[in-house]
Amino acid sequence: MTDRTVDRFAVRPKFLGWLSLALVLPVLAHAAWDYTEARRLRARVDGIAAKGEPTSIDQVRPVRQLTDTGKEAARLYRAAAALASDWNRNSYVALAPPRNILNSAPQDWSPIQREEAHRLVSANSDVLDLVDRATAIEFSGFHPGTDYSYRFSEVWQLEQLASLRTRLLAVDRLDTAVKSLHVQLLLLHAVDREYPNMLSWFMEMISRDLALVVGRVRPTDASLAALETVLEELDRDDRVKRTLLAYRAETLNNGSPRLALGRPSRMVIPWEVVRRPFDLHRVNEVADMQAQYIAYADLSWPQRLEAFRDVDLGPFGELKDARAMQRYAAAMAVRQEARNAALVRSARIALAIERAKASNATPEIPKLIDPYSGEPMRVKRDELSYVVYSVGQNRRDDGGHATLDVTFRPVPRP
Amino acid sequence: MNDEEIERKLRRFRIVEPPATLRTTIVERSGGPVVSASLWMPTAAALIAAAVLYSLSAYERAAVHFRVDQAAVARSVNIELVARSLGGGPQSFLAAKTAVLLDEPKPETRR
Repeated sequence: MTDRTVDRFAVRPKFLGWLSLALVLPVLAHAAWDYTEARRLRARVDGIAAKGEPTSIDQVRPVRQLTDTGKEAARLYRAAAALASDWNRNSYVALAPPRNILNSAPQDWSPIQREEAHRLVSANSDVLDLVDRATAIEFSGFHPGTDYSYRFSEVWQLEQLASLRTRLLAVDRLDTAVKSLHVQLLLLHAVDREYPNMLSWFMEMISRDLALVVGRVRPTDASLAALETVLEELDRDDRVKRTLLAYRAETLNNGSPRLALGRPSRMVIPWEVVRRPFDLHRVNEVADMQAQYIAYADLSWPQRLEAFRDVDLGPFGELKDARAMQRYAAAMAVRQEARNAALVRSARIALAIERAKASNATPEIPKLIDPYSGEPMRVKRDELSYVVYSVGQNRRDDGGHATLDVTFRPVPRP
Repeated sequence: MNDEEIERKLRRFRIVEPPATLRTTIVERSGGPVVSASLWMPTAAALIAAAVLYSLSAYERAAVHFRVDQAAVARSVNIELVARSLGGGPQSFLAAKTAVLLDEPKPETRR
């Protein structure tokens, strides 16, 4: 062993000491970041729970102990949904352009469209019968594990089918159109009970059907009162908050797999652990934003709209960032709810006018606030009929313009 | 050439006594380089601190997980019940875990 070799070994421990410290320090920084973010998240979640707000999807849609009638209603809905599951595929040709039955005004249907609508309703008479029976009894939710498709996709189809039936009956000026519309509203109410952000899927359709029914059929006061009761229940001010609370619970729930312990499939992938502080940071960041949005939801109309005024609702598909997606989703929820509220309130005022007509009394128009302006909803009478409207997204009174304002105008008789 | 002269000539090829300094050199180096505690203590302290922080983080995350995934709470109770009814022990726990997870309703993504 030469003296040179001896010198080289003499330097190594010191070098290794510094090297190991240099390697361990990033690990220490990672651990500190991991703990800080986990602590922040825990404080947030504890705070949410202390306020009685949902921290989990299971709290947003809790497992219920269904009553016998509730079970029966759920069973009938599921049966109707199962029967209607082929509705979209089988009726695609009839519904799509050029026939386009659902998107064209039934009073303007061609004979071929009308015949096709009759065929579709007849072919699905069993489905509609089950829906009629289900909506006639108290419904309080589905059993756990049966909710996904029945609440989302098939109920959508049931609503479409019921709408098609209402239109056919209303065009023929049959009184049963009112009953069919009532079923549509009850079905919507059942969906809204659990999924408040679904209202906008159906509200435009129901508003158009109601305009057709009150214009063509001239329902009795009792029938109108039944419709008004359901609309009044749907005219809730807490829907935006419920939606945003559900979004936040989903964020926390979806972030939870990264927090999970004892899931080997997750923990054996080192990358999951390495990026965990960053993931926790993102969950915290998004939850911060959502807390702000939930505070906006407590404002009254139209202040809650103002809070999202500058959010650009471009194509959602181009958004990659979780924060941008949440901002989009919250802004969309608030704007859709403003439109829903405008549609529901227009319909409620129209029903009050129609009830007064039916009983030859002076209409007592309810003082309902336009969500876009904060002022009372507007009613404009003309030679033919009347229009109830909200000023709409542009916040400008366009005199009840069919597209610039959010309007309700009864379809005139031919 | 007498014996002494022969001996002197052969001495060049004979193993000789090691140098006097060799013993000292070997003895001093035999324990390897002595590393000062000041070199490894910061590394060890950093490792211990990291381990403590990871443990604390795991505790916080477990507390969060308990709140945000209510189904996990019910699931763990069910697993424990089934495992106990199977007799307890690690095998029972594994079997119970499989049974409970298989029994859970799944989102209806396929028909």
